[in-house]
Amino acid sequence: MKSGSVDDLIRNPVGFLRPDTPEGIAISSRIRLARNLAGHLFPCAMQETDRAFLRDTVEHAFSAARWRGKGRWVVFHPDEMNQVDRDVLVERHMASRELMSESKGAGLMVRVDEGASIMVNEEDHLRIQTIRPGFCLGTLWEETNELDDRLSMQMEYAYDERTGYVTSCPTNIGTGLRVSVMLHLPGLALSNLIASTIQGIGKLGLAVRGLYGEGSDNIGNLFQVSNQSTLGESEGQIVRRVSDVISQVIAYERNARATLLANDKPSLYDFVGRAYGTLRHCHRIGCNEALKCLSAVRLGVDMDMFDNVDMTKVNELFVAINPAHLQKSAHCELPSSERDVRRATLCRECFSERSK
Amino acid sequence: MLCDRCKKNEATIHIEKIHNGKRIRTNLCTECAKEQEAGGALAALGFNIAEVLFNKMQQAAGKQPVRQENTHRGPECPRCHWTFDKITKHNGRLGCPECYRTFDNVITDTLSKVQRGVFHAGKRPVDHERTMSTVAFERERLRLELEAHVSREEYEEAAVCRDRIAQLDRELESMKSDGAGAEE
Repeated sequence: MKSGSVDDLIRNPVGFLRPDTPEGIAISSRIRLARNLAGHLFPCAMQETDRAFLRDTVEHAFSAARWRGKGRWVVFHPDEMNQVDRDVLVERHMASRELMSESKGAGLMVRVDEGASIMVNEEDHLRIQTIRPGFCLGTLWEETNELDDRLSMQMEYAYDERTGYVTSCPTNIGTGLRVSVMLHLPGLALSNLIASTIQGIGKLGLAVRGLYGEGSDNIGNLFQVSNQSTLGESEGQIVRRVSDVISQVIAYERNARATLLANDKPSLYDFVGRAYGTLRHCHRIGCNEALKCLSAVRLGVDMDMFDNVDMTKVNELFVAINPAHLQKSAHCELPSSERDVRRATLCRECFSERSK
Repeated sequence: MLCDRCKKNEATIHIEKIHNGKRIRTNLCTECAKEQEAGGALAALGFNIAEVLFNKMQQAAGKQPVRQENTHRGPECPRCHWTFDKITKHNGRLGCPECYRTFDNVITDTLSKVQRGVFHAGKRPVDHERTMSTVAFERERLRLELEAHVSREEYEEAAVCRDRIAQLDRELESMKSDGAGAEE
């Protein structure tokens, strides 16, 4: 398998934010499977050399599986990459921060359309992940399942008839399946209904996290909703259960937006308009503020408040304004203050009259 | 409603504990909830299931008598030599699949609290060897599932389980007559 280049990846729009997203509220769907190879210690207990050996074994088996799927795959070794390149992969949701901070023996295989990736030697030996724009858990599960089946024909997974796929953390045991959808919920947030919605989702056995998963904040009213339990239900049941809840949350968000529009249109337009003004005229802006403003503008675009702002452009900015992407486009490392200036320039250019 | 802890911010997280039939309600703002979570106080209430496991192991480790010959508390995994202490240090992660057997009591107890079931009900690896015991195991799981569906009056789902059980019975019969799949 060919070694990957972050420069090549960055030339393309981020896979999960492509413009064909039919649903503005559900930004992307993601599925990941945790798998371990039989006869090995879990990565956290392995020696560095053993981890590197296992990574080679997996890469070899993956090549032997002749998995074509939707395209070409490339491989990355975080221990041979610089910090900015590692962060780019995290910002594009191809890898976790944990994998990218691993020293020896961590690996990452990425399908070049960025719709699928496999992390090697993160918390588990394999973390198979697929991601697509919009709300499409059913089809995404079929794709992930096929990839998993092909890999299982080349490698013997640690599997127990009673407890299913054996994982390093018992909270993933059984199916090893985590199904999540990233939702944009500014309507519920503006209506002060977000806390009760999150509580409600929690009561249904699902977890709500921020933009970058566990431990991250919900900046820009972006939330990832995922299953907590992985044992005792089939993969299909988990996918259906999460899908049912997501459909309800999308309906709540739609209602909240409609109510805001009907009851207090000036406030809603003011909220969106101010954010647009900030992005269009700022000369220095931090990442969090930019994300908040982009979230508001995205709401405006989704509610047809603009006739000249493109959703694709807004979606891409969500990733492009992040520190590593800014540094990558500048071809050098930048201190935070300079990043703020470059971020502002990027936003101004994107929303200027000329670019429309 | 104001946060019970800081008395300043609006409470957005409401926790209800029932202890010995007595209901205790706590209302927290996000900041105070975060602080308490960091301290492990909320973890035990299901805010983070990994934390629950982690705490449970700490608790179990504390109950084990300290071995005189070494400084570790509790059992040690024969394969990776991890102890409760080490698992605790790794936030509830285990060292190897054998740890599931070594720390079975704690893990099973915790799983029953945080997972929706105790048996795997999903797919299995392609080419995974199908023996009489695996078929019998699946049959037993389905029998329990069937009982649960009947008790909830979910008759359509119960019928699916019944048909699958009949199919597995036929499979078991054919395995017996073929002598294939016999356990060593």
